[in-house]
Amino acid sequence: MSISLGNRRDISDNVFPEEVSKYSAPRGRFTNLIRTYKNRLIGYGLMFPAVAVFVLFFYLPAIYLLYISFFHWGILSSSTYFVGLKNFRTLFNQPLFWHSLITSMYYTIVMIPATVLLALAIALVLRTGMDKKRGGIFRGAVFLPHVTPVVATSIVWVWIFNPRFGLANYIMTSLHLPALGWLESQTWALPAVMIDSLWHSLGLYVLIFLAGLANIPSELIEVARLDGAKRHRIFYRIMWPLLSPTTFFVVVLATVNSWQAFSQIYTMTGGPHGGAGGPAFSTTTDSLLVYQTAFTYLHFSLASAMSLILFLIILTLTLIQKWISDKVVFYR
Amino acid sequence: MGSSVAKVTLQGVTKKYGTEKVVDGVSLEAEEGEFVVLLGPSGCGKTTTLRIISGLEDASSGDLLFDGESVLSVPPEDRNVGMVFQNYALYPHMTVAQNLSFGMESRKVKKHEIRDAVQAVSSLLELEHVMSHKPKELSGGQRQRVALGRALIRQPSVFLMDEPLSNLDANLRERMRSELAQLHRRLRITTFYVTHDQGEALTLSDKIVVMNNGQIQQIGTSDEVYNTPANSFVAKFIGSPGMNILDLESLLENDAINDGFLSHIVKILADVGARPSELFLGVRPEHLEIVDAATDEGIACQVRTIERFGSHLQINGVVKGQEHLEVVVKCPASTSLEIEDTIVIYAGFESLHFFEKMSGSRVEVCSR
Repeated sequence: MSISLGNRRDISDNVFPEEVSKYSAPRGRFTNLIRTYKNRLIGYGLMFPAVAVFVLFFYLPAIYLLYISFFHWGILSSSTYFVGLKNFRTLFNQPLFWHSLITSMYYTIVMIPATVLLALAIALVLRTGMDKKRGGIFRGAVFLPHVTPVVATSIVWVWIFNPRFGLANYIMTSLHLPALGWLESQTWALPAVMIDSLWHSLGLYVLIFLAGLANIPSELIEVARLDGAKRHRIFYRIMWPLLSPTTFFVVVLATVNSWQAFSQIYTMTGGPHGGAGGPAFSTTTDSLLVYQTAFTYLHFSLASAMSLILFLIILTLTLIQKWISDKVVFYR
Repeated sequence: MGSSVAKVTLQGVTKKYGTEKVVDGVSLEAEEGEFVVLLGPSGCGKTTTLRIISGLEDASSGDLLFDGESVLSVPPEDRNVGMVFQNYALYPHMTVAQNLSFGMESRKVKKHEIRDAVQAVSSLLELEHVMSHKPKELSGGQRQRVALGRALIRQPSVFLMDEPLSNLDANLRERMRSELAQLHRRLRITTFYVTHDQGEALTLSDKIVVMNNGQIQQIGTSDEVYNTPANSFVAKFIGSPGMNILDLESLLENDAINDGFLSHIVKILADVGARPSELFLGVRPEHLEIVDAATDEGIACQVRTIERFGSHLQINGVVKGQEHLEVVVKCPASTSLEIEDTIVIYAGFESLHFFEKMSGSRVEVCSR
């Protein structure tokens, strides 16, 4: 942004020198030079805080992470030495690593369609089925969980999913459904975390879909009605294709968030202190394993290698999604 | 509802938003195949009336009949109306061919019938070479034609157009206007056409409905609304520029005005029992002529601005001594005039109009 600010001034100076001098007092070459650099300085100055934060807390650690994934790395530098691809070989021979990848994949594969379907359905109800005042209240209610801290609300969900006196099983039994072990069950622990995550993140996706829906001109829906199309046909043939850029954005965002899901899993599973991802590693996703490896077992270089693989997986998935989107997404 | 052309009747149609009446007791009739133009300024309720006919908007009260049957409870998809929107509202993700066939596919028409209909419409509107294009690859005129074609393809009983030409540039608008006129002559579908452009209204219509504040001001042919406007609003709205409306009482108080001209008017008004103090005098700019100040009678005016249109001059002036009485005169381009000149203007009695001050409605003084 600021760079183009500086550049634009350059162009006007070079292309329309007589115009510039016509409207301003005549200046020497030197003062012009100062003015040009002053503008650039302002531009870079304005960019600096954001760039500094990004470099310091994002790019530098990322590069350092890449570096240490090829080392045996201890907190004390004396024990650090180059090991090449040994960390990666260790990982690929480790069943728990493969298990964590599958767990992450399972989590993502369930979360994406659930997110898209639920968020879109809620957005449609809010947009078409409600007047402005009630719509506003419900929109607020749906968005509210997203602004609460994950850790705090996850603790509430731990109580809800308590197999003996939790709300979840109370509802299940009153619907004549079998009570579940939830967080204490190998099968149901991850779905319980998914429910919490959905509840927490849905508001944002609903908001994105609402923005997408607002972008569809109402005339298109009206003309389709006059064309004799019924509700479901209007949705599939008109709204769904025109929403595709929004849906694509939501899918990418949900994919990244799912692969990186950590706080809710850490808080909800693995006993009273959390963090262990249980029972029997049933909720140990890749990002949880990275954390445990680094900060419980202090294998920093192994965790770095794992992070690198996680990054490559997310990057690949995003590229694949981009490739698919070029074929199916319609940009106006 | 069949595909035959419908006769459309509105009976006291009213639309309220809260307490505000956007459409207020509109009653009118369109015969089969008639081209009815709803004309009025922005916010006069013409588009809402059109949307009520389409079914996209519900009427608060009144009735709407197609061929004598009430259709107010019929949803828009079952009314068999075709509509063209101001911004065309083409499906941006579909090709021209898909845009045209969408409606028939929605109604589950047989494939070969759809193919034939698309073929027929595309050749009627000369769209054959752009059938695989998306709307954004089309020119304004082509988009307009696709929108027309999409509305026409199902052979609607009623054809609705909401300012369909207003997004086109001036040249193209004129061409599309004559194309629309030709199309209507060929197809003879009952058409409602909303516009604020009186040029379109006067040239296209069989019948003009002039609206203001949700109410019908006058229904008539182009000639009728131009020559015998029902009230001072229609008089000012129709014509380019609109009719001069002058307060007769003020004119009579003015010493600067040549008595002969006005006393003639007062005498005729007295003969029919009308009081000049309760009337507005109306005269069209093109019916005023500039006469010789020294010899002829008329109203003395001072020239304020002169606009040159090539074919004619448009002079904006004020009545001398009464700056609040503004007068517009259209005169031949050859007239030599300067700003601040004093001119005397005159119009024959047959081209004068009179309107009641209170209600604005027309007062017939003598048959024209």
